Amino acid sequence: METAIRVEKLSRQFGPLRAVAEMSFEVPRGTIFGFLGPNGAGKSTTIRLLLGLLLPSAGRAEVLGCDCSREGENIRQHTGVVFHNDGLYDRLTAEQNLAFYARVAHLTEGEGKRRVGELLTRAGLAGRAREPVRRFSRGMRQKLALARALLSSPSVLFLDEPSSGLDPAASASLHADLLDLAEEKGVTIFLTTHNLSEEQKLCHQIAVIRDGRIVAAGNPNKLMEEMIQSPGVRIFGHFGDGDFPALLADFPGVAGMEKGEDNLHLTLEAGASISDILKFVLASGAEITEVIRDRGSLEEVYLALMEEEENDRF
Amino acid sequence: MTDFKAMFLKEWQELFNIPKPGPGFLWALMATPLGRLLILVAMLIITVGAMGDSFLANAGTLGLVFLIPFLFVSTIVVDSFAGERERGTLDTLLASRLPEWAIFFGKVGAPIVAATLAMLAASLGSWILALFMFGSRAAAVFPPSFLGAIPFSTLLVGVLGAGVSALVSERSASVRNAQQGVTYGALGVSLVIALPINSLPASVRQHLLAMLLSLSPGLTTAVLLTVLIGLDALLLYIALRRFVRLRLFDR
Repeated sequence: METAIRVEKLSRQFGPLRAVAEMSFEVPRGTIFGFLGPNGAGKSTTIRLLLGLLLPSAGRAEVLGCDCSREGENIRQHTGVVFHNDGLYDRLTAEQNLAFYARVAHLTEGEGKRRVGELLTRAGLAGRAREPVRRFSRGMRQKLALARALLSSPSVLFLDEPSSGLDPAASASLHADLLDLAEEKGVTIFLTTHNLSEEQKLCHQIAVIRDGRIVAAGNPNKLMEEMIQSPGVRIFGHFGDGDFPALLADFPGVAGMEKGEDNLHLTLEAGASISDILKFVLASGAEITEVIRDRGSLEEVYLALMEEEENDRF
Repeated sequence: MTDFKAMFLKEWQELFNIPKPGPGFLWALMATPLGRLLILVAMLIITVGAMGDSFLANAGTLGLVFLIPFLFVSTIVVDSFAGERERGTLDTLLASRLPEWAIFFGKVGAPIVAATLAMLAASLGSWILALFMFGSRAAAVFPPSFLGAIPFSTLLVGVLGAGVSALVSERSASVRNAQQGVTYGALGVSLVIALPINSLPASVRQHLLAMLLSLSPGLTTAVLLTVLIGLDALLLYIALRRFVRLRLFDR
């Protein structure tokens, strides 16, 4: 798959502060890449470096084959961006905000009008096109900012915490739009967020950063499998009485067991065979109605990584 | 040119977007840059009406002709640079494909043109008022040459205000910081000029004044204009050189 963003040992210092340190990653075209990290970890600085708004102290980065240090103007022509602050002009109407950026993108007047109308309709804001943006809710503003970023039909979209402050409905609608953009239109999306479930749902690849360094990277599901130390399984059914639970607790691969009203939760050792455990349960006369494997969450992975980092420091 | 026009039009719309008519319309209007401009223009016309014959003879009121465009352009340019940074819109603007020169001249151009047009309207308004008040004597009280000089002086003073304010506010974190910078800067310059003059012995000051008055008005005006145009060009040049993405983000 073609690469949209390539970063090699990228570093950026602000005086004594190291905002980005020897960062390397690649983002294939048409995928959603999530950048995850606490406040001040270097996420926004990385976006600025990729847009050619800052020069790196060391290393290099490319967006769409253009060098970020020398070809920033080229990059900005083919990318769209929504920073943490939506960047909308409060005194202008929604239509004026978009029309301005249509002129900036050098769209002809007719083309600009058509595209602005199309994007306002898609964002569900056509009815409020002539209202000043200061009257808009956070969700409406975020949709308008996304529409603005899409005006020039960019190949790469940079979104800095796009769903922060959105209600669940607005957030779900934004996610649907982003998935549509990546899957249907082939737009590469570089996303920073604090919302871990957002990354888990949306991103094909993620990178977790801390103090400007990448501490983990890869597919979110694979990362979870690698990082969750004690996977578990919950078995629902009828287990009868007797010494069966005690025998199960001693079964090879079972590290712990909790008995609920209609279920058993087993904590497994690494490499434990779930099918052997289920065979043993069935052989002991129990009736199984449902088996749910604990998948963990990105939040657990994130917290584990942050904890590891904290321990490494001291 | 397309980029400059796009930027200029955006700034123009921000200046002149009129609030929706309804309850509190006047208050809402006064809070806009257009409202502020209307107040300043009205102030000038009222002053001319109130002072009549003595308007042109009074150096203090004449100063209004320079002060009004300077104040208007200065406050708008401060809001346009530092205000955009404070509201977070500058980052998005700089992340667009617009070249820096187009952003810069769009930002300083719109308030200068607005102030020039407003002062032209104000001088025409003053002229009409003078006609009502003095009839055939109006031309003597409010000479047409003075009327014509107002838009030109507004342009020069407006550029001066824009240059100073852009320079101060480009890297200011907030409008408040930038306004303080412009105010203290203007105060500092005034003191630097006024204090040495005031500390001269009275006889030397009188001698200097007599020397100034003996110069031909044409030559004096030409020298002043050259100095002002040179200062305008220098300030704009420095401010433009400093308005570079890599500098603006490196903080």
